[in-house]
Amino acid sequence: MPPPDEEIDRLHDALKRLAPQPANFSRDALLFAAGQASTKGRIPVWFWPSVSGLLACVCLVLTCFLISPTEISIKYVEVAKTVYVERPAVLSPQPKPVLPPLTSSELPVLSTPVNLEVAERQRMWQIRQEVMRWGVEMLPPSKMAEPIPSPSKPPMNPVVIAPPTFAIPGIIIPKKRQLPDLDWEELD
Amino acid sequence: MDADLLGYLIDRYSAALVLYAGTWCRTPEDVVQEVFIKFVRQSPTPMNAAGWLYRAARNAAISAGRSERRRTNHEGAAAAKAELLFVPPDDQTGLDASQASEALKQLPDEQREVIVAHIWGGLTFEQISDLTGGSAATAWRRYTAGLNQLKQLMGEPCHRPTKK
Repeated sequence: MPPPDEEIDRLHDALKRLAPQPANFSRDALLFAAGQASTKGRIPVWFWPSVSGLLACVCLVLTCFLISPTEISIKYVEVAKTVYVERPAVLSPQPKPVLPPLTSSELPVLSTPVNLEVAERQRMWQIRQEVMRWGVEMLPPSKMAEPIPSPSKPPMNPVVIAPPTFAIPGIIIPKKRQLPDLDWEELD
Repeated sequence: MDADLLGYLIDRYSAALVLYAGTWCRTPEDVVQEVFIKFVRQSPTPMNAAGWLYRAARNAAISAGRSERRRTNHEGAAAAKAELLFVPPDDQTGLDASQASEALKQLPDEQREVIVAHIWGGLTFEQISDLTGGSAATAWRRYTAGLNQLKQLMGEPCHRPTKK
């Protein structure tokens, strides 16, 4: 650059002493507008009105629910649920123990169906023993057949029963026969 | 942006920017206000605030001047001609404000731009060359040519003799 001329320097200094007309606008208004402009870019203009409108709608809906409460209906929903149960180990069938014939002293109390069945079996066994010992005559006459009157036979005394037996209701036991007296000496 | 910094920039550069923007348009105040608002919106803040303000003011003033030319009328032109660019100084030994204003308005735009940016804006010729798009030497040549023309227009009033 060429060296500055003295005349130009003087004119430069004289012009510099002149102050430009101050800006014909309000400094505060400009600062305010600048502050507004600095926040405009970050949040859209519609944001806060939209938020306030949305919250107002939520308040309105909640108020409606508060004013007109409805009954709470409980719905039972069946849900299929699979339950897995462990299968028990298959055991080899064991032979049934052979029960010894029951004696009269071992008779259980007849209260349950199982006990009734056992009692029935016990009764049948008892009848069988009686038949084997005393013969079929000791059996009661059948209800289906007509009883044949036999005048030769004396009437049986129901009270007299065989010594080792027990009285069974409904069963008439005939009188014990007189066994023939054997002559043991002759047999020898 | 810091409000103190913005206040400082307004105090320091607003008058010179109005004078600078007046080169191209008749509503430099509006242009300068818009420039400051644009400056606030910049993120991050420009490092060379003065250079950015002058560049933005130049572009906005040229744009505004184009718009104004479409609706130019005689009243507006007369009002612009009568506008005083400088505050009348208290010192009577200095330049006459109205004479300086008239002379400055008669300068070509490129010379007036360089003179205003350098004298009242405080920009260096390198910064002015960045603004105008030329070189620093071109800016300096325009500056000296403009001052010479001002001297001729003002009738060599640069240095008034002090009355004793």
